[in-house]
Amino acid sequence: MGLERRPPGGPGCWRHMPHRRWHRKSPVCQPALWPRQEPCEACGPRLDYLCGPEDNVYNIDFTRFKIRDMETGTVLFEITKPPSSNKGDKRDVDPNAGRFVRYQFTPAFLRLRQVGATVEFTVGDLPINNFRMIERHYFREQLLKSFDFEFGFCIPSSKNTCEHIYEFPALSEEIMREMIHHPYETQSDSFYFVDNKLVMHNKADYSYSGGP
Amino acid sequence: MDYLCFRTLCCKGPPPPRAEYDVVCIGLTGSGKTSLLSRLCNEATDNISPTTGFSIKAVPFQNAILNVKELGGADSIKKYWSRYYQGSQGVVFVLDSASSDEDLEVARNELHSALQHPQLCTLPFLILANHQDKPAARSVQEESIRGRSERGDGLTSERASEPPHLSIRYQRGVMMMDRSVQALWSADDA
Repeated sequence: MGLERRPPGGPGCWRHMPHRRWHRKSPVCQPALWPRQEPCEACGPRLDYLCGPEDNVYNIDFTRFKIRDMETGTVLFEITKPPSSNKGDKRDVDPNAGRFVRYQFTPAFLRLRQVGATVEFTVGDLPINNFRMIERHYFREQLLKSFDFEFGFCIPSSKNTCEHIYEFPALSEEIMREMIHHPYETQSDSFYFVDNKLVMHNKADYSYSGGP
Repeated sequence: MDYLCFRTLCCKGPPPPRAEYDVVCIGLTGSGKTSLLSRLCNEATDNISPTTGFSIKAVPFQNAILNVKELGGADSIKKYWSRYYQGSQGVVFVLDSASSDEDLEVARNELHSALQHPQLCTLPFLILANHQDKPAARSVQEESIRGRSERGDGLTSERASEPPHLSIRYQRGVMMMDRSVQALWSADDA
């Protein structure tokens, strides 16, 4: 398995971004067939989760996440999952709490060209032959960037870290202004597959206004 | 930053992206693989625990980025090493120069297995004789005699009593360095 870096994807430099209303997902899009088929680019970010926590039969658990600027090495963001203390009583816990993250960045973040994103995850007792992630970033309905990364084989009961490099797509001044002034309308879906079967779906949204 | 300003003023646009290479980093547990890579990425090396799987890290240099796949060296992990060889363009093998004779023999066997593996046998190897700052550390010459590669005609090196220096010999793609991680960091980009 090679680490194939895709060239900056998406439509490239946005000169005009008309405001659109959110629309429901196209019924034609069948993410369950991924990644054998090319993911449907007509769809925007998902409003729902395409699988439940119970689909994570390999007990993959993300425990740490870090972003650093590749040009300066500065760590921009880092979060570690606290060890779970009360596994028995889950009645008061939001079932989606572990698979949604809200990021708050300053406008300067959009000027970065290359960031390294490190993810740390543990794996249950079963070996994983082909672990793969497809991640898609949107502003409103428009796809900004699609990322496809194969972790490959994962050793049973292992803890693994992976840093991949994000090349920022070229963004016009106008689109950056829109993203800054409309926090959390930039979103991402991260789909995780084992042997081509969807096992996890995480979501995130982003603010670049510098405030809550 | 001066270079970027120059390019901007001359309307040259951003510099071309750096070349990227995929490298696998192996060695016995405790040899210093994680410390090495953390040091090269300007990260702290004081809270490092044994790697219990893989750690993929993008190590930036001025002219290139090495995508290093570091694999844990414990017995339960190293039996899976070959699952990660495919697609590699180079190998970094780290060994503890101050380890026991028994552990050095284990390291030798693992190195020879890697050298002969079909997916690695044509690739350049960098063998890092780490922990040179320890009193019990063996010199490059001592280690080369013990771990003579079957692919070449042996290595020669200066005596261990001389001040530490960077001693590099090529042997059909095999390089050996006799500095610790600390000194390697200061010689970065040399």
